Amino acid sequence: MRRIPKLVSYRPPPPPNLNAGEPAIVLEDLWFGYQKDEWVIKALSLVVKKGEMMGLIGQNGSGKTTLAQLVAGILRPVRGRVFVFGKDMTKYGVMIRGRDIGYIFQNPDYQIFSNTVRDEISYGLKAAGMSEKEVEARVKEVSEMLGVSKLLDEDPFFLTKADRQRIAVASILALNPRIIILDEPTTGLSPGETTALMDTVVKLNKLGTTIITITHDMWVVARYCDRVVLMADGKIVVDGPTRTVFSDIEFLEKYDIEVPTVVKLSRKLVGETYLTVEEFLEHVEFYKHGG
Amino acid sequence: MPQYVLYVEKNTFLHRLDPRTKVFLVVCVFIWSSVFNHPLYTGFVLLSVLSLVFLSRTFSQLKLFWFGLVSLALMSMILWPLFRRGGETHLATVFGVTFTMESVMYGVAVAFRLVAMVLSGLVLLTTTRIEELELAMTRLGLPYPIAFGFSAVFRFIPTMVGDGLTILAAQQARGVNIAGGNIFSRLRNSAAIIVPLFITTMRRFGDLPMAIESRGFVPLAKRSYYLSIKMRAVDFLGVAVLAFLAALSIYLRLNGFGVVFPDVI
Repeated sequence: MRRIPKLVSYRPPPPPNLNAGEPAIVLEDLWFGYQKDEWVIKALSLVVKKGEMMGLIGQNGSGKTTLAQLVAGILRPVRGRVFVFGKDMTKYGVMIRGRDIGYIFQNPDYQIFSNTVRDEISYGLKAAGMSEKEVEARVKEVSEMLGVSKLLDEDPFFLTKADRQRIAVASILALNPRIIILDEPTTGLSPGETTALMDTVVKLNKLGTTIITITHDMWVVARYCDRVVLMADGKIVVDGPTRTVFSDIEFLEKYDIEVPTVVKLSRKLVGETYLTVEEFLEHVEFYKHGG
Repeated sequence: MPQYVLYVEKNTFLHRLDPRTKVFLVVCVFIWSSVFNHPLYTGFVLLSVLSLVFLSRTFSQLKLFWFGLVSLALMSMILWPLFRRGGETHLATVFGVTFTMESVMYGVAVAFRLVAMVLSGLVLLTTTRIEELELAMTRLGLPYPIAFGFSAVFRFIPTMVGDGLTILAAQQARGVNIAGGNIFSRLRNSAAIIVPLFITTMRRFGDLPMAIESRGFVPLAKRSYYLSIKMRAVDFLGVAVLAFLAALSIYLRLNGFGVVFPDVI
């Protein structure tokens, strides 16, 4: 077994990128249950700032999808209020909230129904009453952004899951929502396909779109999310910058969350939290033979 | 995750009955509601089934279905008087179409009949586990592959309901208005629900045979069951009463009771 190279020096990681912007979503004392007296979401309050990229994590059944669907208006809270860009949207359903919030489901087949990719992406735009010229321009822009412009005349049902997922994302992006919720978008995708999808999401985030992503892939959270919210039993257990949250490995393990190997390694070696391999190599210097 | 399973665990009289008795109850509801075409009689059958819903405390469990059942009843009440001609008591003439009291009564009777039939099936599913139902069918002499097929279909109904609701939300989120616009735009928009539901179900059913076969499924193999069902005295008594009522209904019909139009079902 090769020995770990000798450590020479290291620099601390950059401070957390705290978002001080205005709130995009405010949840106040939210309660929800599918059955009477069986609460899935309990007295939950949360503020998501404009332009934030937030990872929503937790075990299966912790209430992540329910919370996301309460935000999107797919479910209505039993108690509590939901504000979107300062407006009380508690009483409005998914049709109204859909103008601001795009929801991308885990299974792209829930969204796809048209004969061609072009029709699929343009459906929502046509439903919104856009002119043909505007629709054409928007479809071109979005399809180029997601790398599906060569597939526009294909039948979406015969494409791979990764391509179908990109088309489902494209059909939502075309509507230009200010908030996008991705519900386990990387399930069934290879690491390469996941990276391609998440890189696109980051591009949107840089353009000002607020992103909430539900995922079990901690490397995705470490690499892409500025903030992490951990849920358990319908409540928020931890909410903070990704680096801060991922620093407490033992605490996260209690909730069945395993941080990426590079985080564990950096904690053991230098007592700091580096979220990606690139970040680790950039900040930590090892002794080099003959160097 | 939301649960759309129809069966609800309760300790009511209906839940405790043997599944074979409940299957026989559904058969009897079909007989009672089919032999009569007078709204008072089919209405009585519907009331009896409704009382079973309340007895089994499953009213709220069926909340997804009430709208559909009421729509089904209204459709029947509107359409049947248009097609079931005849009768002597003139009610009105609209756009040259004559409506008689008998044709309207027939429409109401069929509406009650259809709702009673569907509701009795739903009562069976809300008070009986799918496994019990499958076992009941095999004990009633149905070949296992057929019983298994039935139970697989029943097993997927809640999944399909869940998928349908998720698809509806997914399409609404991107601006598809299922309930708005004229009849043509509604029909066009309904494709946004039907196509994904069909494709999702097909993909799911496509995987099912492979999953079953990979676990060594042999359709006609001799089976033993961990679950056991037993006909008790109350079940035999129930079957006897139901059979008597079914025979009585046929007797009444043959003697001209409970009919608006004697020559049709």
